[in-house]
Amino acid sequence: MDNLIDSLLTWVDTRAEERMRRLAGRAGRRSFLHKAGGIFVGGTVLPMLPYDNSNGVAHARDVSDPNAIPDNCDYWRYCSLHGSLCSKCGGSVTQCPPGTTPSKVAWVGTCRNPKDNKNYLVSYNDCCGKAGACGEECTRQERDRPGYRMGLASESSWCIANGGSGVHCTVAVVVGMAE
Amino acid sequence: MSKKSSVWFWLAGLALLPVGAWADEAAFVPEVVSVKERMSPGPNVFVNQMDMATSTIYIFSTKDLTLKGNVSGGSWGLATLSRDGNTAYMASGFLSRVAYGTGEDVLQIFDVPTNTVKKEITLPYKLTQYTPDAAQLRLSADEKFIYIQNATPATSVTVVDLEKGKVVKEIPSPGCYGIYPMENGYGYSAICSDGSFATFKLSPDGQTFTSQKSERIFDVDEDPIFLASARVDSDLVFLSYNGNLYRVSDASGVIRKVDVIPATKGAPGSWGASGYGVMTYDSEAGIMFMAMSSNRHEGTHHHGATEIWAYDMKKKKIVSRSPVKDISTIGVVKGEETNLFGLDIKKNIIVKYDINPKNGYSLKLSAQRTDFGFATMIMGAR
Repeated sequence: MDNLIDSLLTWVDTRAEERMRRLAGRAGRRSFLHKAGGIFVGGTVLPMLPYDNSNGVAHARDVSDPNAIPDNCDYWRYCSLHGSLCSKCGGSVTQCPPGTTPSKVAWVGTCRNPKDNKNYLVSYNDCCGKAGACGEECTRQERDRPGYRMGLASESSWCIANGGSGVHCTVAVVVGMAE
Repeated sequence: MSKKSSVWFWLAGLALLPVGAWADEAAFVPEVVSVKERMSPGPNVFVNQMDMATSTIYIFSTKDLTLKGNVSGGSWGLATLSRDGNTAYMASGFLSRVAYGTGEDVLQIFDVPTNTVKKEITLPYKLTQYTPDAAQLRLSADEKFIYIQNATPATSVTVVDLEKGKVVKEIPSPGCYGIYPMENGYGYSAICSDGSFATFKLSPDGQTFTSQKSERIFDVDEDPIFLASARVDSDLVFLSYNGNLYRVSDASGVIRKVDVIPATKGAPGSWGASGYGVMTYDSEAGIMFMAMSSNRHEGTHHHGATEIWAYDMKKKKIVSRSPVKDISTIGVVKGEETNLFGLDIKKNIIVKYDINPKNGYSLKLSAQRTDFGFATMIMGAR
């Protein structure tokens, strides 16, 4: 019976990843929010997503320095982020710091880029396996929902899918357009 | 005294010195390390402080917030108390290398008066790692079972038989989260991703269960509810981000909507609920206290509240609004008198408020204390 339950929960996790990837590619924001309960983005498959190969960098340039992505919580793609910025821990906006592992699943935010006034889906993957502080946490949490809509729940550790290892920081990866 | 006599005098004095020191030593009574066996008596208010390595339940005197003791467990500690406040439960995780390594989830059962571990029960390694809320670890009405929220992130609930001291069931509940136990018998309801509730009814031995899903109770996109809840008479009451009270009944074995109360109606300034443990009910007074903030916008729902509203559940009206600063969790606890306690999310302090029934159950700050980090749960005996 225990094996049956484990199989069921594993199946749910796997299907959630797959469904999220499909939805992220085609859903509008409203539709996305409606369907996103229990849906998660797999960090290891993000590079394979069939859209926005720039990973949002083209939309992320700062006005004064075209190569810079601001290290502060006000930056547009951090709209639903809850955690420390990996760019302050030795990583970058899309890279986990050395010695950590990206969470296999993530919560998702819908953020508006002021440069083009378009909404983008942003996957917030925790980077796991280390302790240590990286400055003040961001707590913008826009469109965050409690655990009953887990795919939007920023109060959860997403390292739970990596064997429950410690949360170090969070990256914000643009995975698609929301409208 | 001749020079020779003087020398002999001093030599004799020096020879006697150790005797004097020995005499002082004989009078000295050395202290012995010991352990205070029991906490100081009196009613308590408990604060669960989650940590990614060592979570702690702090125990304060309700009278003056003196820190009387604590009990501690592992990472992401979920906590609850027995009805009499003499037993504390913590479900938490232990990684072999703290930040990494092999993991183990454990339910610890503490004797509160002595701050000692009475029992440990190993759990399936699936415990939710989520900002602690009362809805994640709950006792059955007769305290025979304890229900524990899992999320891998697929959600399920572990049922532990406390009399047998072992896990008896794991109930899968995909897309649903939170545990709201029935008032009678065994079972609980959970909030689901489409705004409905699922209710699980267990057999007396916990081995089998049935489940029923309700119709949609609230709009998850437009008016999401917090995990916090309160029992009002025999109903369950939830509070939404927008400040609406959802009163539901679980008496029939499936959740049914009883009432929706727009508590912020007519209040200018875009008021809504804000914090974590955003509501607490004073059952003797019939007053629901709510942590509220104005000028809300997307993402502010976990910020500290700027006012605590007292809502009379019978008269269905706000009877007072008390200004507060950065309070994110509130709890009514009965000690020598009934007080409201709050957690300041910015300063990490616990604040005690006196309640004035003659002035609409308004609040007046009467004590505060700093001893812990980020915390989201206040508990007390019931």
